[in-house]
Amino acid sequence: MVNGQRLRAMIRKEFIHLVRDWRSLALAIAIPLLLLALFAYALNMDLKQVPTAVIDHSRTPHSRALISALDGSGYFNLCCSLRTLDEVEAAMRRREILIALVIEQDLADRLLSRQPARVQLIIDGSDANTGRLALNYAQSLLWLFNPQLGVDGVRVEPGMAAQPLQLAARAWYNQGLVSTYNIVPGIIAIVMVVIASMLASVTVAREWETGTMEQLISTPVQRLELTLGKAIPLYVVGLTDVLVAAGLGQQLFDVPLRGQPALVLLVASVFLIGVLFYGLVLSIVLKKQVVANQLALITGFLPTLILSGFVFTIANMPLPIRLLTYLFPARYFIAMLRSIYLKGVGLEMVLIHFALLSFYAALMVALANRALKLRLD
Amino acid sequence: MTGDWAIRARGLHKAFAGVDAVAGLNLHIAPGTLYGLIGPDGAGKSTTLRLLAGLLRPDRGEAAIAGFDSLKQAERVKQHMAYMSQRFALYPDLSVDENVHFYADLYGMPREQRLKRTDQLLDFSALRPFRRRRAGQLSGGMKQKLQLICALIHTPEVLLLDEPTNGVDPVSRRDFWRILQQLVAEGITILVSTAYLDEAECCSCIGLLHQGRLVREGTPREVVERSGLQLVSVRGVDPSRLAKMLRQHLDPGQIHLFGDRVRVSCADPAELMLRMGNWLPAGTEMVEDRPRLEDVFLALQQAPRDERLLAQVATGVTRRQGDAVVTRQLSRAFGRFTAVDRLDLRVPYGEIFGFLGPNGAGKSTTIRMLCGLLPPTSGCGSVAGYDLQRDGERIKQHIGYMSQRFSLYEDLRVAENIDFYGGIYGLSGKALSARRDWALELSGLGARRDELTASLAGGWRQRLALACAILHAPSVVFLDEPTSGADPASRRLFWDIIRELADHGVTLFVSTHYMEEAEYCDRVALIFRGAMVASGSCRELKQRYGQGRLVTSGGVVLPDGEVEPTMEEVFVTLLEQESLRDG
Repeated sequence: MVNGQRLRAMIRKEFIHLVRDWRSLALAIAIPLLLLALFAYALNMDLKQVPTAVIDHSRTPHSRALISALDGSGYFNLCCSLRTLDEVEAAMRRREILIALVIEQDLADRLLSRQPARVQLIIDGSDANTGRLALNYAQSLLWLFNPQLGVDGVRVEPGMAAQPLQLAARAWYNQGLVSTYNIVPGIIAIVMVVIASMLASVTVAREWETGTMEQLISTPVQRLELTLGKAIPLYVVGLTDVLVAAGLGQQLFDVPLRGQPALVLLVASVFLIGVLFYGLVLSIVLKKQVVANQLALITGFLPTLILSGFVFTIANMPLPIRLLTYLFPARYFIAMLRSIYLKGVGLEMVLIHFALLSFYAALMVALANRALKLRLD
Repeated sequence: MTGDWAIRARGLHKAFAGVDAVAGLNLHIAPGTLYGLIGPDGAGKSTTLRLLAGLLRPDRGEAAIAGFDSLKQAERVKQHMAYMSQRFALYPDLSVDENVHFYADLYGMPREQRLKRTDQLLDFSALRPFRRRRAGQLSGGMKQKLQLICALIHTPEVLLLDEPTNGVDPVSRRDFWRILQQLVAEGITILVSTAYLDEAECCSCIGLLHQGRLVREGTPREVVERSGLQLVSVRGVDPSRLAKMLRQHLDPGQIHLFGDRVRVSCADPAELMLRMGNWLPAGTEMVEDRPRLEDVFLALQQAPRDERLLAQVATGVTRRQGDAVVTRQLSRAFGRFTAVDRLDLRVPYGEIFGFLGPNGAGKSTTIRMLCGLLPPTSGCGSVAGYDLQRDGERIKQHIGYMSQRFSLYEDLRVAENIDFYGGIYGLSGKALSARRDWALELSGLGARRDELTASLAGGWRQRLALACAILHAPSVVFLDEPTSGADPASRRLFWDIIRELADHGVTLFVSTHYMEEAEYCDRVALIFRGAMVASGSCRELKQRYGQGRLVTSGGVVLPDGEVEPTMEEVFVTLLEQESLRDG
């Protein structure tokens, strides 16, 4: 079915297109770097040196210990000590502080008499995300400091003191440390989807638009030669990107690869074939570069970003949306990659996901070849 | 190989959206024939070629190439033929060599054989010096030759070419046809569609397609003779006035103003000459002329001259005196490349000025400067009284410009396009609605005003584009290759409109590749490599440069039996001289 000489000719031609259109290629290579940097730094849930004020009405060893625990954590920077709430408000308006800790006079008494004690946290709500994060951090710190301490109306019942484990279990407050671990597998998926939508979705449509397709189909070229000839160079670019992303993850962010590198490549290859041919299907069916490109972004890139479990946890989604996520191959891919990366599992542990992904890839290859017509009507 | 035919169609039918494109076509083309398929826009030429090439599935009937069915044996057909589509279909980012090798691989050519064949073809087409150049950077003529080479790389038995010389300058066009003739001599069968009938005259057999059917077939000479059409050429001092006079006395459809003569078609020349002698002014020459394929073609199409339409072409134009366009030492450089080199022009109001030159000679650059779109690097000039250097914006308001590429919005309706251009030129309310009606009338699209522009065929689009360009009744109009790719009837109407405008004092500055169209101009200037090579009326140029040339087809027989050269021959002579001078 496939003539080697013709396939090689197609591949060579597509490589030349890629190299001569160096802007698109540079973009395709630069995107993993950019995304990695963007997500690793910007999506970082870590808090550092939040400017914090303290009003200490208690002035006891207890209150000082609490303050130094906060200060010593590295998350908070105690920049000023204030006396009244008016001063706190003024400082917050000047954006000098983001958070203020108010310690009541009776703190020591209550702690000593084993009564529930309270401190007040005042947070600049205008920066909701940082504020919430800071609140969570502070809360956890205070609980760690003394489980009897209630914060901001969150009363800790006496019984809680006997269950400090519950606090330790909520390790997601430490997400800053773990997030890059989860990001690298996600980035690898995103990168491949971007390549598929940026490069694959336009490649056949461009030939229709410029009129080269009419000439091409007047030659003995076969469908499989045409689709493979277009997919293979993009596959090479995609796999290069995977290596770049994985390498950078390891070098820059110390993301460990606990599983087998070959397994990562295998899984990535299958996923890549699926998304590349999905891009080709769009390109073949729509015959217009702009439309195919847009549709590839909307139906490929966005779901991969939102519905794959990369950024948003699937378990937290409402049921209809959760069911929807099963339709997107990135879900299986990212789940597999995380298992391979972080748990170091072998293929046998992710077999179902792998089978689903392979099915998707095979389906797309078949669809692309079915949709491609070597005639004008 | 295939017996008595290389290309065959039997009862071929193809309809698009219920409209017949090809309706019961029968074709039998013998091996080694150079067959020209001619016909107006939308006659079904491209569809026929695509059906033969197996790129379209016929509704009924069958097509066959080199002994194989185009549909059922598509694989075999593709091995034995080559098809060249109308659009430039090579990869602009690949070099000449890369494009050729790509196609050689697709046809499974072994390496050694291919190298030899490539060299041979590159020599043959004089493209060898450019083999490392990207295809996108070749001139129009070279692109077409490259496309032909890619089609020829596997030495096909049958070659299907769809309007291969659209937008190609005369020198390249001549080269191209020379190559085709050589190929036929080698035994290849060629089916070529063309809108240009001077090309069709070079074919050994032609077929005239009309509404998807073959209505005439034979050698060009046979087709002309069988038509029974006769011609009388009338020559006088003022050919334009002469034409008007003839139109009053005779059926206007018979009259065709061409260059310095008026051609009158008739059935009996002797009788006509006798009749005309009664009322033609003294000093008018009459002579029997040889009808050309184009005359037959137009007679068949029976496109009547619309006097009512032409009468209102120039509505709203104010007649002005003096020079519309003046330039002195006008130059434009792009980096180190001089696109236009010290050009001196003087065009009075009411003149049709033909601006001729091969691809890349600097025609478009000059027109862009004159339209205020591109400032000159040195030299000066004025258009409609406004200075080129200082008043670019003002110039734009006082001229009409129709660019080489189709400049209308395809997703807008006909009337919406007109309204858009009206708005740009500051028309609104009653003035706009009056001009809109006028433009619809001029483009002949009154009944189709609510159709999308995308659905219009070539000739209609060009008329609409012209109407939009002169919506504001400018007194200077620039037309950049306005008739490229239009069929003879559309072209003739187009030139009638242009003549009418000129008669009302409008200056028309027209660039064209087609030397035959130079005949419609009052004066022409030939530019080559950015500089003026010659200028004058066609008659002057023919006298000055057309001597001693061997005349091929299309030469017109003069009263004393001397053969007058065509403008194309003058043009080619001049360019060859210039190229020699530059070494």
